[in-house]
Amino acid sequence: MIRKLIGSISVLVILAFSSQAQAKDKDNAGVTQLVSAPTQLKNDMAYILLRTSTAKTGLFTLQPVFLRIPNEEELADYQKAKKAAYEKALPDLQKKAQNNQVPTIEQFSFDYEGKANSFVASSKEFLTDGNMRTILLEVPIGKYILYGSTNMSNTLVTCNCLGTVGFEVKAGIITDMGSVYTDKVHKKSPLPHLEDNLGPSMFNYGYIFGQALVPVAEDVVYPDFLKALPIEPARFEVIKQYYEPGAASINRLAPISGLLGYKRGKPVDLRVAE
Amino acid sequence: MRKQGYKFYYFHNPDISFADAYQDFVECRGYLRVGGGVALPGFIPWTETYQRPVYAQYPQYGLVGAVLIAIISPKAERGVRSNKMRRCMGTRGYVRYAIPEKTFDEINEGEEAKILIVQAKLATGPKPQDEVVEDD
Repeated sequence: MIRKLIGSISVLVILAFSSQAQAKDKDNAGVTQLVSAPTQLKNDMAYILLRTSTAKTGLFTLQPVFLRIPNEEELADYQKAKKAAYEKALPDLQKKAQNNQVPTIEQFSFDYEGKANSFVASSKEFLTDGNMRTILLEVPIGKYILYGSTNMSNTLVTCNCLGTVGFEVKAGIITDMGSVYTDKVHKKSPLPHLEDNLGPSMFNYGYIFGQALVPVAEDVVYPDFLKALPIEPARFEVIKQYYEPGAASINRLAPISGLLGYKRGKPVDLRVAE
Repeated sequence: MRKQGYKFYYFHNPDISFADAYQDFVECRGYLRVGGGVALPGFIPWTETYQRPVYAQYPQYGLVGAVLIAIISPKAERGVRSNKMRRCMGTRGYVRYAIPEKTFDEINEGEEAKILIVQAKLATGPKPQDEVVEDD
């Protein structure tokens, strides 16, 4: 009973802790979720098609989080802003330094107000409803990573830090990434494909979500409202492990037959001979 | 002690060298670095190691809430860290063996260099004469 109380309060604390992150309501990373299929695609935008599960935790649906790898200009803007923020903060950092150890610029953290490159694929806006909702995203051209999952609209909960996939999207083309399943995985999930049943005690101190991706089948039949549009299957690449200090929990994308495997816990591309 | 094994444990892997275990702990303990929440939509500089602001204050839940948070937050923090280590090390083939809370604190506190060596040594030491902590 005490453990459950601590667990519940801890979950609330962690959620509230995470929700202190300021959501940027002015820029959804350049992404528009379409609620009806366009008759024509823009030639300066790309499109991501996916089907997503609708499992919930409490009232909140679990949703995938994407990151678009920033280009050189965006990284340069970020570095410039960080340098300016660091130089402004330096007198204060020096005053507060303990044991004369002033944080370096690499150790310095600041709130960056620049253009976003990460977003939630919301389950609230979709082309078709059902156990799996069909979502069509109009996105900036670039390379995207299935970064993690969340049960909130404005902050990441679990990162796919231990292994995931990425794919490139091209202008004027719909890239079909297949089906994405997301659920709590401390216990057995009714959803298929997930690595679940990690142990109930994993839920005591916060959520751990699991995610699985099933690439689109070669013989997929598209609904009439999509048939006339140019659609290609996503060409995935395996993304090695990364760090996301802001994630409340870490996990990995479930293995994908013929694509993503794990060797001593590290992601491997199964298409590449050893 | 065994009942508390899901909280207080050390990792072991009979199939690994000390050097590999040490590297595993370096990489997995890297996930224990925490920052503020990831605002979405937001900018993540992907190619750079970076830190996020660490929020010093918890939200206000009133006096009773604040007292409860002060009591449980160390446990919550330990639990979150434990979840990360379990997931990372578990996928690398490590199992867990229960130890007393005091011993758990000893091997997880202090200088990072010492922690890495001690835990890698434990992980590659003789097979424990005890039951593995199951994923409970």
